[in-house]
Amino acid sequence: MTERVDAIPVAAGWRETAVGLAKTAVVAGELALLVLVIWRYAIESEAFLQLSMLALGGFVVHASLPRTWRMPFFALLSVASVFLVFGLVSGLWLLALGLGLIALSHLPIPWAGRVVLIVATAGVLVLMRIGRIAAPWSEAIWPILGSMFMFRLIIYLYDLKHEKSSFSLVRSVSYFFMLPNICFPLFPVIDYTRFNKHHYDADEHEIYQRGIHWMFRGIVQLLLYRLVYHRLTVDPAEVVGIASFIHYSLATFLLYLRVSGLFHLIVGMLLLFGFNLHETHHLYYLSSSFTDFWRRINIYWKDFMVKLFYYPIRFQLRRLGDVGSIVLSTIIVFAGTWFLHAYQWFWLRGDMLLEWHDALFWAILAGLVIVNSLYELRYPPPRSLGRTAWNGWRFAATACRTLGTFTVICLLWSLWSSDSLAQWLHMVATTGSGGLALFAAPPALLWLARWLRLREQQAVGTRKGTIVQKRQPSFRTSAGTVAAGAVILVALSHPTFYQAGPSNLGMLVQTAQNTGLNTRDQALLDRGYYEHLLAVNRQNSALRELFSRTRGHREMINETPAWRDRGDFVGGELVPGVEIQFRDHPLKINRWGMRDQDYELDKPPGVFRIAALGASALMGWGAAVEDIFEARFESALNAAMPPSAGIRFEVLNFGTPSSLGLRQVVLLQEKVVGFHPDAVFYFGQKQDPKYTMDNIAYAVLKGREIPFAFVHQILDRAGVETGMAKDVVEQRLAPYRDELIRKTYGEMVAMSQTHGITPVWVYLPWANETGISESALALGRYAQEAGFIVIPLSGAYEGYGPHEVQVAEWDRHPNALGHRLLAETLYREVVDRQEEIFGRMLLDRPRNAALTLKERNHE
Amino acid sequence: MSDVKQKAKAFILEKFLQGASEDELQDTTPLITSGILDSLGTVALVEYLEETFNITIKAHEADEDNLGTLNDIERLVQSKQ
Repeated sequence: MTERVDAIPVAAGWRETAVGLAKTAVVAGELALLVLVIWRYAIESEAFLQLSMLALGGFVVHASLPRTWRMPFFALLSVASVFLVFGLVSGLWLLALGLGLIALSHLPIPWAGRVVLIVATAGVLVLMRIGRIAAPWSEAIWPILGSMFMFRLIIYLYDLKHEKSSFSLVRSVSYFFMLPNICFPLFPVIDYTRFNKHHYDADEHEIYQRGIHWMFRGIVQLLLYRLVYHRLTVDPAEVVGIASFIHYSLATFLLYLRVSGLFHLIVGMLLLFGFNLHETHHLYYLSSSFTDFWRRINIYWKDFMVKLFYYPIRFQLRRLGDVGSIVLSTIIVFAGTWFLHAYQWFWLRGDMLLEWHDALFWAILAGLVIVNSLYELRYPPPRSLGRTAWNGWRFAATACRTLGTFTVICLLWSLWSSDSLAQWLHMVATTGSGGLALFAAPPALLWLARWLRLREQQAVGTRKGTIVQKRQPSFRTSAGTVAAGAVILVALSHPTFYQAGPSNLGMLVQTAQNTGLNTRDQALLDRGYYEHLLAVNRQNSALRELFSRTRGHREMINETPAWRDRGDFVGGELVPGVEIQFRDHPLKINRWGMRDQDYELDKPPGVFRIAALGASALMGWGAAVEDIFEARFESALNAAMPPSAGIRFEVLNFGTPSSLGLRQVVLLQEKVVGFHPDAVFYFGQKQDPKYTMDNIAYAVLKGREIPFAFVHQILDRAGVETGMAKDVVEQRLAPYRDELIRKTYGEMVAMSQTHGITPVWVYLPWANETGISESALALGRYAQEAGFIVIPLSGAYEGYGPHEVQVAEWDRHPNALGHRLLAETLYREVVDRQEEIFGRMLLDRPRNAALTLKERNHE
Repeated sequence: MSDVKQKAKAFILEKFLQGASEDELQDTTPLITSGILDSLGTVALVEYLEETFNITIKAHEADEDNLGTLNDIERLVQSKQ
């Protein structure tokens, strides 16, 4: 009997151990599946995939260790992640800088003295960040160093002062260098006390499973974000009425899924190492008031602001009474949020971003939260110990409140996401009476919600119904959901599966796998080169992150001596005779203002002269002059002509950055015809309509003369007036976009034909363009209708990935290989169409154009 | 149940949980993480505790450690009396 009694706990102990091991294995299996999803959908970066694999291995080891060894192991794993992503040298710099800041926080001097020292150190780092003092480490370190210390060091110092938690080297290293941070410049503001206090404060397998669940939820949100980003976003210029304005507002708010998805992923991963943190976001699209929204969206930020600003200020101001102290402390919290976002931007990008419409967004949100707080002070919202049972009145009231709040936040988000206040106001102006109804809807809905609430109280009383305890999904349910979801996602990612389904499925999966920029952001990125448009909206996470990887400021052509402003419609031009180093290559401009070899103005006898017109890609942005496809094309033509033929080709490169569409018509008239070319090759790009509108809008803004009568007629019809903001002019011109480009092409053809020049329109794809887009096809059609001979180079990069043929991740101009492929394709196409272009057969059909070019390369 | 807990419980039930029964609010029921006390509610509770028990609570003490449950509240108040 005694033996049996003793045996029961032993057996129970073994069973518990076995169940524990099984659960750990299940979590590891789920994590492995999630790593597969991360790989198949290219979630975030290549570095994050490596980090996820490190986390998978690390989790298995970590979960097998005795509890006391786990925090030191996590610290080691976090340090290992620094070297994995940054390599030895940069990794050592990051560690040294971080450990230095931690050491300063613990100097054996009074707390205030330590703060002064840290502020002074931060001052030196600021000077280094803006380049006033040379930093011996890589630029890549800044965003991550900033992300690790810019907010957490403030919390750490606060907690040190108030002795709110225990401190040790292991805890500090774990806190500041925590595992996923190395891949994410944008990181939730995790509280030091909470980080320590909740380490394994509940059943470990429940913590792990919740972490896995959140990671899965984060991945799903990131995939949804990509669908929104690539399929739903609308260019402000396309907002022309209430429907498109609602579409625009909704899509911009939905883009926040990116931040929420990332934060779920990050915190979920931390839970795998026992840090039992709370949610970072909680159903924020379903907020039922403005204070509720503030509490649900980015909860860690709210907690940070409440702990460090709201409570200290509110406690100080209590003598002012509830109303006074709430109003003042809330204003200070929101002003602080606005400033700290700019401060965050500084560490990530290296420059402060303080914009008026940004300030307006925070001011309006602060006002709404203040009004809401005062209302709640008077009429406290119902709270419960669990989930309260619903009744019809309550459901209707909550639905009205939620819809009203959602509408206001969408409108506010659309303001925040716009390039300027003027642009947003113009979009609103296009909505007409529908817009009035849209703006009137939220107050009406909130009033209705209040009325329904009162009816509920009359009908049901203040009792909130039966208390129903909140239920968490069991380990088994949660694991089953994650595993099934991950398996479905992995299976769907394979063409065999998605091609077997409906046609939309393939499109959705490919969109979810698309890590690139959408059309609008790509255009913004391109314009950044020309107009120094680096003020990427804070809401635009895709562009912001791309810019954060650009390793500092890259010089624009208009910031160099090779560029000068003409003060007219054309804008600027290359300066003749200048020679500089630009984007890692020599940039030498000939006496005519071309990046090309020298040519005589008069065409020599026996020469067939082609004038190449286009923008930066033709000029060879980011490429060596000898690699430019135009130069290679010229060499190939001449190499193919036997000397006995007595004919030579000259291809003159008139490529000018930022010069597409209408500006090229002016250049054609002013510069090109003087060289008496036999043919003009206009290298059109997807952005032709956009740039044409852009150029007109710029001229309107600057009050510059636009030398085209048809443009003035369109401006009159669009209601554009001199001095109008550029984005407003673009919006007004949007309905005339196709007409503008058709007439532009018509002008080019007419001018060419007047001078006896054969007009050829060549579609020049960006290095990351695959296939033929609808817009490219439409442009080709317009060119053909205008009278151009049309040559598409769309398939030039076939078989190559964008990273192989473009200058850099943030620069889609073709690199040397890209130019070579363009030259080969152009040559083949021209040989095929030579009778139309040259009026006769000059060139033998090539044995192999590519071979000819490669032979020349070899030489 | 101590006087501190009883008074704090009565205050919370009356101010934030009208209609809930006393049994539903336990000594270990989370007050902050469950959303019963938000920042406005926390300040109201602090003011009530200060007035009722003639103590001073500082801003950095208004957190989950000290106001997370009725037990935590009792410990905080007793440490200041």
